[in-house]
Amino acid sequence: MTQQELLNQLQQIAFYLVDLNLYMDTHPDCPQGLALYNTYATKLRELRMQYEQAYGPLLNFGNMLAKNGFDWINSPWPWEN
Amino acid sequence: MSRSAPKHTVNKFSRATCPFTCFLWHFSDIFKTVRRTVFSFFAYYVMKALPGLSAFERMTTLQNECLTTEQMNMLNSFPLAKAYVPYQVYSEPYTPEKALQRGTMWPGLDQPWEGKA
Repeated sequence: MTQQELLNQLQQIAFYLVDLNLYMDTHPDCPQGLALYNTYATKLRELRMQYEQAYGPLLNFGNMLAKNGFDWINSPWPWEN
Repeated sequence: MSRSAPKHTVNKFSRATCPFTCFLWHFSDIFKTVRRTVFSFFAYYVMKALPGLSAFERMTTLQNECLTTEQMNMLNSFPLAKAYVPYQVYSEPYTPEKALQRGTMWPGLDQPWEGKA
C-alpha cells in the first residue's frame, strides 16, 4: 500500500468511527454496533501502527515515540503534497 | 526643476475634487434618507426573491402584506407544533469508503440536499 492509500484508509476508518460513536451514544447496547466499533477500532490501531512504522508519526505532543531522531519534522506537511 | 500643480486642477475645493467636502456631502441627512429608502426597497425585493426564507419570516411578510386581522388571529390560535425524531433502527451500514464519500455510514441518513424545497 502506498502512503496515500494508507492515509485514505485511515481517514475513512477514522470517519467511520466518529459516525459509529454518534450511533453508540444513543444505542449503547446495540450488539451489531458494538461489534462494528470494536472491529474498526482494532483496524484503525493496526493501520496507524503500520503507517507510523513506514512513514513516521501521525500525531504530535507525545502521542507516540520519536524513533529516528525527532521524525515529526520529517513528515510532509499537508501543503507540501 | 521645481514641482508644480497640474494645470487642469481648476479649483481643488470643488465637490468633485475635494475628498473632505465629498465626505461631508455623503453623510448629510438628506442623502442618508434617500439611501435608506433605496436600501429598504432593495431589501424588500431581495427578501421576496429569496427561496430559503424560514416559516417565521414568511409569516411576518404575510402579516405585513396580505393577511386580515381575523386571519392573523386564526393563525395565532393554533397550538404550538411538537417535533420528534424517530429512534434510529440498526440497518446494514455503508463500507468505510462509501461512508466517507456520502458523509454518513447509514443509508437511511443519506439524504443529500438537492436544492428543492
